[in-house]
Amino acid sequence: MKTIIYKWVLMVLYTLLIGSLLVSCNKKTTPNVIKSNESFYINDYADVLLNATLWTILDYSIELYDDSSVQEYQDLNIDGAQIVVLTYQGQLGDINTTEIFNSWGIGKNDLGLLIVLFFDSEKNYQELVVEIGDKTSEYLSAFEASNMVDTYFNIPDINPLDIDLRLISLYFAYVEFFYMNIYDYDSYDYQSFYDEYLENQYTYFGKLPTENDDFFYNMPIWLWIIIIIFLPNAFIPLVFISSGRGFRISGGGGRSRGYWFKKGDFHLLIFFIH
Amino acid sequence: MKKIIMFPIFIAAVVLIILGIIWINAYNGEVTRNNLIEKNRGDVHAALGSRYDKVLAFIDAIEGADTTVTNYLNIIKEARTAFAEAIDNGDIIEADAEAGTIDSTFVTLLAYMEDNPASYNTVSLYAGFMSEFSAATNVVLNTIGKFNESVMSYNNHIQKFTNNMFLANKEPYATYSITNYNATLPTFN
Repeated sequence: MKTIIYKWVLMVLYTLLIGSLLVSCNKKTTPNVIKSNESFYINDYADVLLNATLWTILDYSIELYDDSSVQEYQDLNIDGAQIVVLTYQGQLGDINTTEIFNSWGIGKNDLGLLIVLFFDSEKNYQELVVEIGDKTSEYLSAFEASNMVDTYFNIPDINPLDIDLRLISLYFAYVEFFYMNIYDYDSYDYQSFYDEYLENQYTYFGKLPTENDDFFYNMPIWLWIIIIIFLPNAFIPLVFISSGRGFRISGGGGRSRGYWFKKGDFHLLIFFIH
Repeated sequence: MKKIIMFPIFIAAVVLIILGIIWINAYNGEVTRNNLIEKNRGDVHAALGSRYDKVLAFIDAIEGADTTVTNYLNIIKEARTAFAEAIDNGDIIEADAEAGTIDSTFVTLLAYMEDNPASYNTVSLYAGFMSEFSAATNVVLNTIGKFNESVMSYNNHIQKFTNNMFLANKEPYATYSITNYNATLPTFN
């Protein structure tokens, strides 16, 4: 009798599991929104950035999040700042940066910043969008953020085709802004970080977590279903093994009210004028 | 005999209970959606107010304005004051009308200044402000989108059967027009 009940309970549980899996497969996704990758802070979907650029943004964004998550800032509800970079091959209308910001939940306490670089089909840089989190906008206005793009990204001194260097120049400027203006740091050594990047710009540091071959992460849904049906006792351990892979960084639930602006490539304008 | 009497009473009770549930659902749904509309409308006006504060900051920085620009500035300033007063008085129709005046005049002003950039010592200010104005516009559009979604949800709720039997006296809301907010503004570098 006990065995029969046990079997029934198992059957119901597996049915629920399969059902929930199928429902999740059928889940409606919002158009114009793309998922963040495992590295979260750097999403090079256009596949245009150098390895050193990816690692620099990942490292310094993790550091910013850690530095801004200390008790002092938690007490003031300004902890958990996150700066995220996304490169995208396509046009601005193809994706909704506000929806992406909100679905990724960039920044705890709405202290997030999203930089999106758009590239054409030939991987030529086209334009840039800066989406500012709700609370971040109390410190950083679009006016100022836009001026920073002019000062640090659209710099005539940097080769216009060197998008990596232009991006890093702007990225560190925003990181500096966060440290100095939100967290009241006395100083931020922008130049030394920038110089360090310059020294290592063409160094290969290895794959990012997202680029590592991950069998469980890439395992198709149908394989999961077969495992559930034919190897039910192996399902739970597999879930634990797969969820324990590497490290996963995610957003802090931050929101944006749609406070973003775009800037075209000034080099293109100069080219057309001449 | 007793069963024969009890049966219609039982049926009537079941019908009454079902009607009660439908009425409660219709009423509570209407209240929830109406409150959401009020909240979203407040957000729209807050976003507009914030946008106009930035417009004024920009206007204050303009120096050496000619007669054409001065006229535009006066229209915007007067409409800004009227907008703030209408919001304070809870006059939504008036507030929206003034908002339309400010936005359309401001876009005309920007277009005029764009055509005559060398005439103003505000050109460096202009590029930054365009980004600010564009971002503030996006916020307004976002809040208007949310408001219109909540209006659609409310209107659907009160017009659907069986809710329309209990909510026949409720008027549908009108959505926000985005005529003045969806203009693509030029990008300056």
